[in-house]
Order: sequence, then structure tokens, then C-alpha cells
Amino acid sequence: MRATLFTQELKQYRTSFLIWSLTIVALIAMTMAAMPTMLSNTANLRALLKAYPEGFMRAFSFNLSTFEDPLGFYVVYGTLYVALLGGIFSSFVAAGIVSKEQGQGTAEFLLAKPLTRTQVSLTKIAAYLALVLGLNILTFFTAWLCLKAFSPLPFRVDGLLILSFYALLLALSMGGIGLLLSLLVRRARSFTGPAIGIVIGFYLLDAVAKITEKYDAFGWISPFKWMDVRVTEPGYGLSWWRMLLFAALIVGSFTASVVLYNNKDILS
Amino acid sequence: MNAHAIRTERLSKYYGKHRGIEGLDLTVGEGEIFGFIGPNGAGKTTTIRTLLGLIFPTSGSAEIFGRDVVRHGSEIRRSVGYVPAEVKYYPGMRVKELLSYSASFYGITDMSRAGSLAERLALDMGRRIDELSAGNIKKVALVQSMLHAPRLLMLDEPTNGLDPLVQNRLFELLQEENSRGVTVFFSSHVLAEVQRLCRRVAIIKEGRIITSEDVAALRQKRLRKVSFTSPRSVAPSDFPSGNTRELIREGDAVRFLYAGDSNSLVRELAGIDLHQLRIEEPTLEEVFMHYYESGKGA
Repeated sequence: MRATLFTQELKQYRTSFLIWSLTIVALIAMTMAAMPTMLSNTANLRALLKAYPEGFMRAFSFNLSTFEDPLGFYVVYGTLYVALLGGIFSSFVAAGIVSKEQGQGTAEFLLAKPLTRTQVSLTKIAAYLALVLGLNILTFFTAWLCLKAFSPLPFRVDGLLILSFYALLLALSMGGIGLLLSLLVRRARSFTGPAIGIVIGFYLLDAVAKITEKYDAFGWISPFKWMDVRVTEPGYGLSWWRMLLFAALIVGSFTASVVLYNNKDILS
Repeated sequence: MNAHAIRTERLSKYYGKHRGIEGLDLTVGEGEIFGFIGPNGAGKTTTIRTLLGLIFPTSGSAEIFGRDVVRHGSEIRRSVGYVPAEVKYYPGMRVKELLSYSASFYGITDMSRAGSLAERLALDMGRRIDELSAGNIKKVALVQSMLHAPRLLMLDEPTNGLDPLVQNRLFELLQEENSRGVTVFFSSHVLAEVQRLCRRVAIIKEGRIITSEDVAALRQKRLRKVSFTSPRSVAPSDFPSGNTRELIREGDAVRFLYAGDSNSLVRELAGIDLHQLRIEEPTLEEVFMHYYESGKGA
């Protein structure tokens, strides 16, 4: 890994990181601020939720216990931002971190330096990991602080940790897919737009598959489905097979990206 | 020390079905200033980018200082300075930051050489890169290519965008670098600058080297620029040796290139009623056009 390249990458994404993290933090804080009101009106909400179709409730992980448990509330409202927006940020950074150099013509400068392709890709991936990890740590602490501040009921910190860890694995999966696809494009001008589209596509696929049990199996195509959000259920924890699915996708996509980049023609 | 700075053997690069370069055999000795000329699309940039490891050869091999460019690219690039035809840098950076960033890859912290190079080329290191003109961006590229004192400079159309004064300074700089042993690989389509700077030259046409030799020899080698006026009609058939090239008649004026020895030229001219005969050494441009149009080696 090259320290100057690593620092340069962090500098390049400094503004994006600030905008995305402030947005996600603000959304979590605003949503969680509504929690005391929601949790104190469970009887009214119970009546209101009966009006919603069952499929809709499943698609957005609504259930009655959602409004009786602080973490359940966070899953429905907070995790949407952490998983979806965090996934988009991760994919946006990963899809651009290598291919952007080619798109803006600076690859000609960088790859003429005494660096191997592996050094370049691994350093860039390390910078990407620092950004994604940074965002996830920030969102975890925001959620924890909000729960401490706004929750009228006690909550399981380990549940929040597990949920945040799943969100990190989901973000890394989205990043791996974004990076790999950006390298498959021969002349990558900018792949960030399609990368964002792919994350939203996966999110919608998971949501749509949840609407009817008939299409539930299709949902497993989406890594959003792999994330276990049943935080209100007893015995909630890390499931080895879900971890294995994430690990295979993350390790596979990043390894394939490094190999692909080592053999890629950088066209002018 | 290896005698060859660059050596390629049957080096080919295809972009899908499209030809980049084909069977390229090229040798550049260490310490040479070598000109690489050909029009746009001939394969000059493809050759340089393959040598630098930006793109990978389809077949054949290439070595820089005796090391394979694919397997030892990273080590080779430590000794190489490169100026691309089209220079692009990171938006928002200042010249000084870019040069420090570039120097960091070679472990250089003392920026005095970069400073003196910038001064020679009249480059303001405090300016933002996105505010610079194309000529000034080229100057940044030239400084960053030389700041680590490379053994080989690969310059792809380096004078594009530079005013004549800076071009002169660049040529002086390159000659100074060369005098301390630096090999200069100078790609251009401007023949006059290649003629002025380079000792040896290769002409590339449609991805193939059509000739590679000394600039002086190329200009003198059996090619004479002949012009005269004659009251009678002159045709290529008046030169039975078949050594005339590109014979042009305008009124009673005739001019052509003669690719043969001087004795046979004099013998053939003896049979023609001549006025105002001139026999000159052709410019490199005329030599280039001759090679380029005939597509033959010397």
C-alpha cells in the first residue's frame, strides 16, 4: 500500500463523505426524534396499521412489535437510511475509486509511476474501506446516541451492533459489485450512475419479493434480503450462513476486481 | 549497463479487431535522442503506452533497459519519465501539490530540482492546475516527467501547445539531460523538431516501422531533390533507371526526388535539355513523405 496514494484518495472523497454522512446522520436523528411519540401511541398505531395491506407491511418490515420496541422502530426507519443510503454511498465510491482515474485521464499519470497494478488497486480499496467503515461507525454511534436520547424503553446494544454489522456487510457487498462492474466496462468514463441504480434495484427487488410469499425466493438474489433485521425476535444474532453469503460476495467481487484490473488495458 | 534502452520484438497490439501496432521491431540505444515519427493513428501512442504498461501487448515482447515491460513494469517505471500527448491532472490541485505528489512515488522530498525545472520552463508552481492553459499544463507534465532524474524520457508530442520560446528551452533542456546520459524517446508528427533534436529516427506507418536509421543518413541516403526547367516535355520515361519519385511538371518546371546514386542521375540528366538545374538534399518532411507514400524501407 502506498501512503500518498491512500491519502490522495481520501482527499478526493472528503467532500462526498461529509455530505453523505451528514445527510444520513441528520435523517437518522430526525426520524429517531419522532420515536417517543410513536412508541407512546401504540394503541392508535395498532388500529392504523390494520388498514395497510399485509404485503406492504412485509415489504417495509412493519409489524406491531416494531412500535413496541426501540430497535424495531430503528429497523423500520433508521436502517432504511443506513442500508439504502449507505449502500449507495459505498457503491458510488467503489465504482469510481478505480475507474474515475481512467475517466478523467489521470490514470495516464498514476500508472506511469513505479507502482504495480495490485498496489494501486489494493491501496484504493483500502481507502474505500476506510470511508465505508468510517460512515458505518458514524451511523452506529448516531443510532446509539439517538436511542439513548429518545427511547423511553430499554434496548439491546448488542442487537444494534449486529444490525450495524449487517449494514456494513451489505455496504461492502454493494461496493464489491460496483467496483467489479466498473472494471468490466471497457472505457469507463463514469460508472457511478449505474452503480447507484444497481443498489436501488436490489433494494426494490427485496421489497417487491416480500410483498407476496410466491415471489419470496426471488428476494434472495438481493443482498438486502441477506441482512437479518428481525431484531425484535428472541435469540437474534449473527447467522453463519448469512455471513457466508456476504463473505463470498465481498471476497469474490473484490478479488475478481483486483485480477481484472491487473490485466485491464487503460485506454486513453 | 545495458546497450539498449528500448527493444521490441515483433510487438503487436490489437484493440479487438482494430490494429494498433503490428510486428514492431524497434531498438533504441542508451543515451540516444530517438525520434518516432508518423501521422496521427500510425501507432506512436500505442507503442509508448505498451512500453509503459498502460496497455498490454497482444503478441511479441518489449524490454526497457533489458527488462520485460509486462513483468517488471513497476521497476522500469522508476527510471522512466513520461509526458503523454494529452495531459490530464486532478482538478483542484495546485502545481506544487501535483509535483510533490508525483515526487512522493519516487521517495523524493527535496523539490529543488522540480523548482529549477519549473523556473527554466517559466512555470508558476503556485497556480491551480484547472486554471492553467494547455501550454502550461504541458509544462507541468514536462517538469513532473523529469523531477526524479529518469534514465529514459518518453515524450509523446511534447511540444504541442508550447510557444516557440518554451520549445527552444525544452530542446536545450533535453539536450542537457541527454548529455548526462539520459535516453530521449521523442514522438512527434512535426518533422522539423525531430530533425533538429534527434540523431536517429523511426518512421511508423499503419502500425509498422517502415524505416529506422540516422536522421543525417536518412536525409542523404540516395535521395536527391532535383528541379529544373526544360523547354521540352519531360516524363518519367526519360529516366530509364526508374529512380525518379513523385515527378511533378508545372509548365516547363519539373521537380522530383531521385533515389539513386549521383553518377546515374548525372548520366540520365545529360540527355535532357536543361535550364536552372538544382540538386538539393531533401528536407526530412520530403523524405518522410517519400517513405510514407511508397511504404518501402530504405
